[in-house]
Amino acid sequence: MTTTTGRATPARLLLLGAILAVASALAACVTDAAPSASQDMEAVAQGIDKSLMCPICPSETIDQSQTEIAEQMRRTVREKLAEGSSRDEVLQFFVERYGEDVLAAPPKSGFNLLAWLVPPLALLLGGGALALALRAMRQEHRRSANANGPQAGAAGLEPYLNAVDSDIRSLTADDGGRGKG
Amino acid sequence: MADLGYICLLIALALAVYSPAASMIGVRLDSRQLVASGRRAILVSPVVLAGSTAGLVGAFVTADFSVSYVAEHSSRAMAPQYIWVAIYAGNEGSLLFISFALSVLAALAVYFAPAALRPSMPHVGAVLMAVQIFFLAVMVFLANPFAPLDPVPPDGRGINPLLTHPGMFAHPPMLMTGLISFSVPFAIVMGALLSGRTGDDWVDAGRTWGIISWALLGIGLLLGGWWAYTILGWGGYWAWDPVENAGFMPWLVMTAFIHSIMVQKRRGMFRMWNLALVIIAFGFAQFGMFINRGGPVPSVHSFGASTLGWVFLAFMGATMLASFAVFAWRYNGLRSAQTLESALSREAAFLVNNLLFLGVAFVTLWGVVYPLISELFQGEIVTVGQPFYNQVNGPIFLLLILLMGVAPFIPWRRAGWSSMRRALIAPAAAAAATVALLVLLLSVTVPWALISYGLCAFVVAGILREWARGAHARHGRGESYPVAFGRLIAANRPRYGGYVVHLAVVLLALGVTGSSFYGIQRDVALAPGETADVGEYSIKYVTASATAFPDRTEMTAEVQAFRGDAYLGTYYPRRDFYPGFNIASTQAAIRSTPLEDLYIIPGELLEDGRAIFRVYVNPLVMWMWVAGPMLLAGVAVALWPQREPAAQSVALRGAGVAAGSGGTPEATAG
Amino acid sequence: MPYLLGLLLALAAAALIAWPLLRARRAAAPTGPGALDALRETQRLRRQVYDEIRTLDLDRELGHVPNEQYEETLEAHRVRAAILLRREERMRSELAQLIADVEDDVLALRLASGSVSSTVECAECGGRRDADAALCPRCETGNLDAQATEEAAE
Repeated sequence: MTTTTGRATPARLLLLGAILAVASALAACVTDAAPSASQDMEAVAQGIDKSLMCPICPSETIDQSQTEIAEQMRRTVREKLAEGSSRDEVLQFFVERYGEDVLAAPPKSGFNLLAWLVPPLALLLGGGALALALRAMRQEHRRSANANGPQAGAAGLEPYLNAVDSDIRSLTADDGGRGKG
Repeated sequence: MADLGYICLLIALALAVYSPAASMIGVRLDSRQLVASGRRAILVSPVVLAGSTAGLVGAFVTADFSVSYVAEHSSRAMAPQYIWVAIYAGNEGSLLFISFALSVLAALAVYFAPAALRPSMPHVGAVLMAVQIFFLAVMVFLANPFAPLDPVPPDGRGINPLLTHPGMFAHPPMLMTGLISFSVPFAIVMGALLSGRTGDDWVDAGRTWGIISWALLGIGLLLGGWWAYTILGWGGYWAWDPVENAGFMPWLVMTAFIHSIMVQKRRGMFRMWNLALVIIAFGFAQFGMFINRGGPVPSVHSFGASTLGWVFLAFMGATMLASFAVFAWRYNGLRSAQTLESALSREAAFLVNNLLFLGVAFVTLWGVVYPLISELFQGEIVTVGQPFYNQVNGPIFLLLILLMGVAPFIPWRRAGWSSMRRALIAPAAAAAATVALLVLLLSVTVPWALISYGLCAFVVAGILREWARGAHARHGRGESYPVAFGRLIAANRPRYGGYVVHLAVVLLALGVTGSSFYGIQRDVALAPGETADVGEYSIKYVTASATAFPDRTEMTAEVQAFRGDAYLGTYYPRRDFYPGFNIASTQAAIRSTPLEDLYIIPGELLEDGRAIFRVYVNPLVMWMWVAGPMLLAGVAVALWPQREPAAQSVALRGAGVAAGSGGTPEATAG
Repeated sequence: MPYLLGLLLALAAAALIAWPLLRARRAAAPTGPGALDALRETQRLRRQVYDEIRTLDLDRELGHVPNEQYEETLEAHRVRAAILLRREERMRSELAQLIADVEDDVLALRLASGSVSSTVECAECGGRRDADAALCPRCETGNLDAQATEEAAE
């Protein structure tokens, strides 16, 4: 979009080059996005650790908690994964054992969908209200601009304008002065 | 000592009741003496409450276990420097601390009130002291820090071991001061509403105190993160715990306020909105104190918990109700025509900022209350924890960083697309180059991390461009670069102070992104002499030693760290066990470098002589702690008073235009 | 002992806050919205416009405001400031008139009560004032010239 009107300034060339670089780099990461499973099992396990609450300590995940039961659960997570269970299956196993509140975040299904849907809806609603408010304020501006033109009551202002100019000069003098009034 | 403390408390309560009464009756009767007397009471109360605090300190120093609070929170074995911590370790003491902090802040606010605020000061003082009445009354009637204990025990219970850490010297008092300091902007706003001076008189004082309270709370939160990182022993700094959230929400709303107040300061717009923001922020601050004091949600921080929470909830409800009733009462005086030249203007950008900050605050509140909603409607208890907040708030934060990068280039009133485009090319190029470098050189592949770092580069390049161009323009008029740069900042303090704060936020974002996406974590069990690899590092467990103290057993491990073959040093992570509390607290060994932290936490000793360690490599975390001082520096620049232009026109004072109308006694313009 | 200390402290606090009540009642200064408030408000608005001009200057320097938009906005700001300045000027002269009227009333009362024996016309602003006063209450200029003319008249 910008290149249709602009000259090829160095900044633009740089931008173009950088965009190409990013594109190629992203393409590169998509192609090797599937790392070997064995290497990543611990990473999956740690991800699960962070999504499970320790059932006896208030609001700590088993990843954070240093209690016996948390340690036990961490071990179980790794055993289950080694047996070939998927992440969801492991989580389900703990939900059946300890109840829904062992999950660190509510599941995205059923009634609990509410937890996930309300925030974006609220933001959209807020954004809509903001857009309406901005529109109303712009209309107000047009109305007032039409009602009294920019130079309303400007007759005979000359001496006051001069006073304002000298005020501004003295104000900006100690900031190092301004270019030209 | 304790008796004296209690008597001071009673005197303070009497002062707190007298002051608003005198001020309000004084205003009603138009009696300056009464108003002045009410003001005096505010100035005297910090002295009285200092006496009360001294009483509690005295009781701790003399190990006076006939005071129940002292017996609960200290013991003879406690190191003397922890008396400071013990003062606010429990409910009663922290109330006294809060009350003392409030009295000091109130006295400062009253003493340094600017001339523009003077007519509404009686009301401002009355509101401050009304808040003070609440805390003092709770102490006198419900939670007396000087309550006697009978029979007197031979020794105290001791201090909660989680609190015996250097971070505890600063974090809780800072957080409490931050939360209670929200009373000052709130009082200024309520004073404006009550006295009917709802114009722009309160704006400068409101902005100043808004920023001060925002900075106090912000530093309190950061110190909390630092404390969690170095002692709680899970390698993190922020867990979206209900108590943390409760301190975070008022800060978010105040952040929105200190941005949108600039629109009122410059253009006289958004009056109603700014007033409402301060009231909401104060409401959230009270909510924070309520959650802190035994709210309905479980938390790792609820060591000061008690049933007192419900008193706080009632107070919060009452103040919010009263505030919005006053707001409604003054509603007609608050309406003003809001005109906006363009939706692409600084004013509109500030509103978008407000939307996003309030959005984060709302999401956080929603996460805190959702478990209650779920229990109520589906009869099922669920947990709303880190994964929820990270997934929902994370993208909003990224949007905020984007806005932070774009907004400085949007001038007031209206922006032109072409100048915007020109200004944004360099930052966008910097962002793209950063992303490319990260992918190609460091093979960073997580999209969220790339977006975050790209946006950080975008913001930094934008700010640097502003500084460079400003300094260059001045240089063109014959100033040397350092002078030009200094004058540039000095001439536009709110804006350039804001930029410094923005850079601090970028540092925070660097640390958060680095440690969330690229932290390495490993649990290892090592026998003495064994070595384990963690990322590029390897650690060697040398030996462990245990030392017994009267109140705890310290297990100190000796660990050597290497990177490749290079020896990095020997570290001594420690694990203290307190049998009296059945609590273990760990002192992680942290090797901090600008690039990454090597973080070693000792676990238990196994029976076969092996020791368990959890080792993290946390990239870029050090920058988060650099952000604190930087934030304060930015605040100092933004608040440093600018020379006020003379009230009377320079030219008017000279012979200029004024000659015709005859000399005017200057005193009238006073 | 602590009770005694507490009592002393309470007394000290009471004395401090009661002190303003015991002082002689001075005439209450005019508070609330009035002519002075309106003047201050106008001054504040003008300062706000000056602030806007400063910001506009900075934004132009940084290249955020194109030149023609800069000229246009600056002109609007200047006109707004000038209008405010003119309003200030009017308020100021109204206030001066108000004060002059009060001074005249005071002078008349003092003449009637005999505390002022003779009046003169101020050489500087033309208002009447106490012949013995060192300064003219309206224009706050010295009395030297006036005294000279008075002596000459005698």
